[in-house]
Order: sequence, then C-alpha cells, then structure tokens
Amino acid sequence: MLVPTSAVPLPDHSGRWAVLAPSGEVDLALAPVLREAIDALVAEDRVWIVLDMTLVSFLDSAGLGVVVYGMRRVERRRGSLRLAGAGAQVRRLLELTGLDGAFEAFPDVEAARGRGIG
Amino acid sequence: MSRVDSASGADVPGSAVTGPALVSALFAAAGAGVYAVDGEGVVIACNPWAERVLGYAPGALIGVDAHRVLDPRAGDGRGLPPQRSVLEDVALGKRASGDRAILVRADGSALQVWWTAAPLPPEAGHGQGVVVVFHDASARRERDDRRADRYAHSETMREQAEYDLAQITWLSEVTLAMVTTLDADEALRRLVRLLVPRLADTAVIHDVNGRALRRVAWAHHVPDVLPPDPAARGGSLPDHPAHAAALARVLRGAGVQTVAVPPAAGADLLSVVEAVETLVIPLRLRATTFGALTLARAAASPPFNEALRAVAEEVARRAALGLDNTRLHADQADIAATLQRALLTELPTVPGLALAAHYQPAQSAAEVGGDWYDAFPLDNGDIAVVIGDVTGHDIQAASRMSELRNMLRALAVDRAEESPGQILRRLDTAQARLTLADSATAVLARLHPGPDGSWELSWSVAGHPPPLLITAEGTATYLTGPHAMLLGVRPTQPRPTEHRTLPPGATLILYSDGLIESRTQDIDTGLTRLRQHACAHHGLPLSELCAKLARDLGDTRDDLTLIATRTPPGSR
Repeated sequence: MLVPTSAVPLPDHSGRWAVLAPSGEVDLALAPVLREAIDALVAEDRVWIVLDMTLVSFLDSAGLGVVVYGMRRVERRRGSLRLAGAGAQVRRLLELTGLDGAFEAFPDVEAARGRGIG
Repeated sequence: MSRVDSASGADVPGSAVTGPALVSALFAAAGAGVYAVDGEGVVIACNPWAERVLGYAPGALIGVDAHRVLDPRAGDGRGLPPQRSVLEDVALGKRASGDRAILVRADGSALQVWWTAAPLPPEAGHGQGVVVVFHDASARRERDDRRADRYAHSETMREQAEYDLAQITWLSEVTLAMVTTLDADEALRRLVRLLVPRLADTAVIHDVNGRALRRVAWAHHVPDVLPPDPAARGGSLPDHPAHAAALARVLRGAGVQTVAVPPAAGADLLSVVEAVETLVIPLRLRATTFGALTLARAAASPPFNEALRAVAEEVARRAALGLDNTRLHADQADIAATLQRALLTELPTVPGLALAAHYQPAQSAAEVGGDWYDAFPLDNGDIAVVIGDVTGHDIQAASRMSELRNMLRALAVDRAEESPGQILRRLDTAQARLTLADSATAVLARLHPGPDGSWELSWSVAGHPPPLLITAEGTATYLTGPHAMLLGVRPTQPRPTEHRTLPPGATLILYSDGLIESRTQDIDTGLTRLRQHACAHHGLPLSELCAKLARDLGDTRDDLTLIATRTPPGSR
C-alpha cells in the first residue's frame, strides 16, 4: 500500500534522472522524510537525482543538511544531485552557505534533466 | 494464523469471552479491514470485513501477495499512480498511516481507503511482517452510512460529493493539527476546536499526568460558554462524578465509555454544557493510554451513531499518534538541551579585551539546535573566537556539535601559527574522514594584540552569516569576504583568511542564523535589522548588547547564539 505523504511524493522514475519534489517548509519535520526518500533512491542505485524545489517555501538548516547529505551520498557513487526551480529564500541560503558553487542549479526540472551528465 | 470468523464462540449468549478468544472476536468484528502480511508481503491473516470489502470469497485473501495484487501498479491499464509497499515504510519498527491510498479489489476496481500500519510483534514469528488496518473511504460507503444518520437529508449528489470531500479534508486537517506542532498542549487545543460542532457540541481532552488525568483542552460550539483555561485548579467546573469514573476506567484500559448524566443543574462540566449523551474515548496506542477524548451533545443535536463513533475513534487514534510523537520529541529535546548547555563554554579572561556570549534556547524546547560558541586562548597570547552551527535540530545535532567543537579546539591550539582558513580546512578534512556528520557552518576568528589597544583580526567564514563589526563611533558593517562553502561538502577546498585591524572601542559580533532568519523574515531583511539595531545600541555594555539583540531580533522558535568581543576604548 502506498504511503502518500503530501510533502515528498514518490520519485518520478522515468528517464535516468529521478525527480523528488518536496513541497512546503522543508524543516525539522520534513527533513527526515526527504532523507528517507533520497536513501530509498540510492538503495536502488538511482544516484542521478533532481530535487525539484519549485514548491518549497522555506528551507531551514535541517533541510539544508539533508540536501548536502544527499549530494554527498550520490557523489560517493559517482552520481549527481541537481536543484531545480529554487525560490528566492532557498537561493539566498545557498549563497550564504557557499553552496551555490557546489550545486548545479537549474530553473526547472526539464532544464536539470536536459543537460549532459558527463 | 488464519482467517478468523465471528462464529468462534464469541456469540454464545451470556458467556463472556476473555483472552485470545476475545482478541479473535475483536479482530473479526472490528469495523475496519484488518490484514497482516509476512516479510514477503504475502497475506497471512485477515478479517471477514477485509475480505468482504475487497470482494474476496472467505479465505481467498490468504496467500495473496498484497503488494502485487492489492496495490495499483504502473502499466496495469488502470491509470492509477503506482504505490510503494507499506512494508518499506513500516520497516524498522515504525508505524505509518495515510489518508489516501488505493487498494485494488478482486474485480479490479479501486477502493479508496484510509489506513494505518504497524510492524507485527517479533513474537508473532513472521519476520518483518506488518498489520494493516484500513477503512473504506469511498463515497459509496459513506453514502450508505449517511442514509441512516443526520446527513440523510442531503438531497443531491452534489451535496454528497461535497460532504465526501469535506470529510476527507477534515480528517486531514485533524492530522495536520496534530503533526504541525511539537507542543502537545497546543496540538490538543487545535484538535478540540476542529471537533465542534462537527462531531459534538462539546469536546474535551484529558491527558495522563503521572497517574492522574489532567484536563488539557476543551471547546464548546458556543464561544465563551467554557472558561479559557480548562486546567485551572479550583475552577468552577469539576468533572461530573460519572464522567470522572468513566475517565478512570479508560485510564485503567477500558474501551469507549458512555456516560449517562441525569439532567440536573449541577456545577460540573457536563451539566453546564447540558450534555444528554456523552462518550469517553481512549487516546491509546498499543498498550499506552495517553488520555481521553470526551464528546458530549445537548438535546437539540442528533444522537451519536455508529458512523460518528467510527470517525471519533479515528480522531482519537490520530490524536494518540500525535501525542506519542510530541512526547518522544520532547524527551529528546530535554536531553539535547541539557547536553548543549553543558557544552557551552565559560569564557576566558583576556587582558585588554571584553568577551560576552549569549545563548537562548528555543522557547518551545522542541527545536534544539546544534549551535555553539567558543573562545579560548592560543599559546602565543592570541585568542580564538568561534561560532558554529551543525545542521539539524535534534540530539544527534547536539552531540555532533560537541565533536566538531572539540575537534576545532584541538586543531586550533595545536598549530597556532596557522591561519583561521587553514585550520577550518583541516577541520573540514578531519570531519569528512572521521565522522559521518552532516554539514556545519562556522566562523573562526583570531585576535592578536596590537599596539595602543588595537587588535589584529583574522577570520575565515565557512558558509556562515558574516561577522558584524561596529566601531566606537557606531558605524556597523558586515565583514563580507570571498564566501567559502560550509563544512562537510568539499573537504579539500582551500579556505580564504581575511585580515582587518580592529580600532579601539570596536565591537565584533558573531551570531547564529536564528538571529537573522525565520519563516517570516528573509535573510537580507534580518541582516539589515541586525545592523541597524546594533548601531542603535552599540553603547551598551557588551553582555547587555548581546542579550538585547537576542531578545529584540531572535525568533523564539529557533535557538540562537551570540558571541561578541570588544577592544578597549582608546586612550586620549
């Protein structure tokens, strides 16, 4: 039976990139859910992940920690984690924490999938 | 295990069943579908209700691969979204529940359900099996139920469809009310407000306080009938003796109680709300009773029926899940806060330099951060000043914070000739090699005494908000430099060090993000407010300045940390 969390839906498995689209405030409450979703993908060897941030209104330090965690996990397996559609708050947080240089950020999921993965 | 029938003797008149027979009877008679699967997802037991609603002949559900057969699958032509196996979500001993899921009936049609699942106890001997309880959430069943009750007057399909939608939405709201706060009392206050007048005229929640029940939240459909504080001692609204007796039975493990209160103009709660029918429903999870939900109606409202009871019990179940969650969290938060306070450093005494720090824990006590501050002398007379924040808000964050803080101390005192950037780089490398800690942000500053009361400042920022410098004249500027990434991402990346001379009477403030950012205030607004506020109050003694900034600017939901240093005033 499905566990349909409203916040981190099941990944879109089509194509090489798996897309996770959390929504709302990615904070203390939601961070573990997102972490489990990433873990589940990595366990299936899906290490090319797009985090679609379009519906994320607020990312706090716990949420940011999970994004970094995900990036480290997939990079250890020669994968990649891309961010798509991040709003102003998320972009400013990435800038302040110096992560804007570490993530490939894309305006939307299509752009994130479209680029080569070499 | 096998299918359990209600014909197992439980129906013999006059003979009360107990023990396993009673459990079997409950399993069979539960007004919900119950099935259990083994670690492979194969159904090993189910009740007749589950078979009937899923359209299986008696016994035919046993042996079915639940995930393959009961779950919609991609490409099966039904166009339903694929679902993940509940086994994955209940693995490792967690419970799970949901409002909207689909089970596929024997005839291939889809059944909307709300459901909850829990791992089978290990003593059941079915490996990592799961028991699933589900309710038919489809419109048809609700229409059937409603015909017999107060919604029978809904005359059109449109009204029924609206009602179905509202019911599902409302149950989601109940869940949300419980899970969107980690403050248990607040969650219960929200809950009772949602229950009237939808379920009853009056809703009251008692929770277990030690061995006694405490009235923690209440609501009445007419505002101001009940005083605001349900827990006031010596208040004018005691529980009616019959109500108190029912609560005591629930506390001892009894199921739903019906309280009959003879109509009387008493000064107790039930009399004041003119209750003619009262239900007391346990808030219980497994064997733990967290409290009780009391629902009462006055004579003008329709009698409670089975459909209402089913919803009320579902609400009580969700409330118990929510309370379990908040209590678990509160326990962790207490431990983490204690640990964190124990780790906060006593500041060293430094000739010619003032030092002050401020730590303000989150008011809710539910969000304990990984913030830390530190200041310690280096062996050449320099002083190291640190602010840091390990991502996350839990006990792991607090313990990783202590690891990182101590590691930084060791790396800094060991090679005092190194620049802050070099030290942070080694910290990054050490953290990456030694622990699996999440990321952290930090500022490491070093102060070296110069001539005439000035100090030479060198610092390195790892993904942390910039230090704030306020001159004796009251000009405040952020020390922004080439920003370097937070710790834990690119451990070998070089880290820049910046240099600046602090003139006499200058104040340097390092702070955590709780001071500048919240859900309602973006970072840049927060930075501007901090700069302006620090300018306006820069004349305050250092520790008072820290406390004032924390009090005026901090979001009380987040913890926040400040450490500040001030060079001596110039001699004129």
